[in-house]
Amino acid sequence: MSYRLPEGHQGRREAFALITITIITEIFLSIPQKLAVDGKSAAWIIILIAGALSFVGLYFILALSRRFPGKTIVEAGEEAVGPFLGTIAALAYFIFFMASLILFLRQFSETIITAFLPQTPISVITAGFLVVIIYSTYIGLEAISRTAGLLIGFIIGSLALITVLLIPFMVASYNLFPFWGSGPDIVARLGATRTSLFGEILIVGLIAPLLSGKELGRVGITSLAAAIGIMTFVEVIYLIIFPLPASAVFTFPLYSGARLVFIGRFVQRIDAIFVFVWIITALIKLAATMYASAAVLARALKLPVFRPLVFPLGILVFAISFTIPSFPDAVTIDSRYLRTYGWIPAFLFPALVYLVAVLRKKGGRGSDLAQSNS
Amino acid sequence: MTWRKVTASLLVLLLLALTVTTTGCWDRREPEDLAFVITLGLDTAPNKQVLLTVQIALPKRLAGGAGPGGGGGGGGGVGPSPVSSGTTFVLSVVAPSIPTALNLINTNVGRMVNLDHNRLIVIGEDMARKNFSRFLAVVVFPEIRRTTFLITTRGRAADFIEANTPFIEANPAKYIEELTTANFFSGLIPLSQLHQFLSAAESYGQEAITILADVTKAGLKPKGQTDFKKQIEEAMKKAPTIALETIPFIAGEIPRAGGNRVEFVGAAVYKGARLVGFLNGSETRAAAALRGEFRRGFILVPNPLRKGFFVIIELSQARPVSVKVRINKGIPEINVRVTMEGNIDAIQGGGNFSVNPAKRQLERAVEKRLTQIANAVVTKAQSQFQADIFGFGDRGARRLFRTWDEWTRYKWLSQFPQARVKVQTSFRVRRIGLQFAPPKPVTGR
Repeated sequence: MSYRLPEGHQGRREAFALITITIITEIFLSIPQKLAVDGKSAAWIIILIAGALSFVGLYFILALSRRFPGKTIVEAGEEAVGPFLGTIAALAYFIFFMASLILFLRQFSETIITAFLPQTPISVITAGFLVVIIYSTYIGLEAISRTAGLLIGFIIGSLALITVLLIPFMVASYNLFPFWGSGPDIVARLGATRTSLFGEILIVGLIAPLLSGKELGRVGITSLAAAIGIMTFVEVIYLIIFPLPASAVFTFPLYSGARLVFIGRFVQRIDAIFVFVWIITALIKLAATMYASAAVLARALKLPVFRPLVFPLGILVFAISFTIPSFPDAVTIDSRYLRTYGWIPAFLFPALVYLVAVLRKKGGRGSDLAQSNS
Repeated sequence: MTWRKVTASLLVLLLLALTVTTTGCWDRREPEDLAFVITLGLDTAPNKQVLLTVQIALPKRLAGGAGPGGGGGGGGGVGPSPVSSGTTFVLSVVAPSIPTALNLINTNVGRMVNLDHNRLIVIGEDMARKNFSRFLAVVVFPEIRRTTFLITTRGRAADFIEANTPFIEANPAKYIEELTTANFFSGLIPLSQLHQFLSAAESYGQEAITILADVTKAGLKPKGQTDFKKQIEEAMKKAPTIALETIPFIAGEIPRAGGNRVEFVGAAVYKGARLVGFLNGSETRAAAALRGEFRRGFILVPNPLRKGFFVIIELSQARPVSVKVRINKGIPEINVRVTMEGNIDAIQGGGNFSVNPAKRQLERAVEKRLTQIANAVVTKAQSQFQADIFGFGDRGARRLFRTWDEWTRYKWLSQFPQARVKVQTSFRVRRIGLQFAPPKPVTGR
């Protein structure tokens, strides 16, 4: 039962860019602030611990993909644990991606309103985003990841540029002390649950058929490492620039950072420059999670194509994103549920599926050669 | 042409039309419809209300630049008339909060009041002494930036804003931005943007200081029309007797004649968001050195070779300040190391300091003087203000604690007044100017 979805070609560089961007875009929202609330001055250690643990999750995703070559985690799951449990796993992945998509869309639209277009109705902004997302998802994964590959330099460059421009404000390295923040035990516990921050690494399991096993492993590891590095770096800079009681209250930390740039009379008020880059980054992330949702659903429903699902899913996302009453609610749901329990669908399910596959001796090197037709 | 092509081209046309009709969407705002506030002033008003003063730019006049100097220069006052007069106007209202005050202003100003270009917030002394954190909440406004300069004025903010009529710049806000940056380099005022103020005021390890400014008491009348001679005589009378204290003034009291009516010198010391006192120019400079923010400034030391004369040194901070804290039976012991370097600028009374032991002698004299000044300001902060304006807690004590809770429970800010502070300074002469020794006119030939 092997069929091919029209995902097109995937280069290693493009896949790396796609996954890295999809993960790090979280830091455009309130995540640095939420981490500062929980971890205090040790917020960055939480990211490091979470990142390290995410590698364990990634190991199982990669192992699963290697055991079932040419298949995504969805089909691999069905083969390993049977159609019923497999569908439940697929549903969990689907919900994870949808939740990520909806919450990000709502929060990012709110960012735009608060920061730039206070008079514009949110539906107009959200609809504007959705049109682009639906269109780019419709064209397919290749288009999204090529865009990502093309723009990742700009995106990382924009973060680097802000960092350089903010050097005059980095006088207070003491803001990283006391070293253990809210306490080693709390930091460790949060580190474990906040692996959910890296849940989007699950996309590796979806693009598995498009890359060779070795390439896939390399893409997964490098993009996760890059994401951890960038996010830790941003958190450290954030904590240094905004001393603790302040870092725990900013709704849009990165934006507040960009607004702070002040190098003499001339180089100031330059936050508008970064907004373009951030919107493009957000669109890539949104399109990637939209694709992931549609692809998981299509494969779970055994549809040969995912395109017919894109438009209905778009409407669904649009509608659900407005059921959240307010921006603070969206932030709370994101932080308290998605980025606290997201590791269950993103890491635990693939790991369980893999372990069951090993126990039931499903998949493996012998059988896949016969099955794969690529 | 197929239908497909027709629909496609219609769609393209529609999209093109959209680009024209939806520019800026709901947030389209023409600059001509906005009144840009460049300075905000906060004062107390009866019944816990706020007296909000705004200085609004008149863009057309600002853009003109030339000011009223042009044709009618002949008659009028004694002094030159400031170029800024007529480029802005000042308006004050009383309201329970800043946003409502802005609405109130709009009942009079024919354009939408906008804070996007606000450069400066001035806090009146009365407001500052009464803990203005209630009005500080205005920073959640997206229009207010943390890079806005924050100034505390002795007296009323409204009077200060009204009196500020700079000469060189047409734009009063630009003037203040330039002045604060230039003055900061001399160490006579602290760096005080909203960001630094809030960072310190919210910290468990330091207290905030802001720029101190005031309208001069030197008898300057508005628009610079005043008796220059009389002013100079007054200034001479007020000149300090001890030449060692370089700038023992706080804003408003500098003996001078002529110029803008406002002046910036010294610092306002806060505990939390409550004003507790002032530092004069020299003390502010010493505090800056202890905070590691000192850039460049002059200091007088007695000439070690000739009694009754002074050597003038241009100082700068050579290395970041090192703050080592030990907590001994609950009482902090603070060891501060300030490393300075400098150039000899003038040697009154003569002497060649380019070689040892004279050079070493001079360096010792400077170190002694620096330690004296630093100890004086530390004592003042500990006994008079009981405020850690140097950030010793953040710089030194924080890293002694393991967790955030332990750190905040220690309550550094209330421990600081009892702390034993030891300041060590070291100074090296780096350059001696264009001559090894000062000119020596020969007398009694």
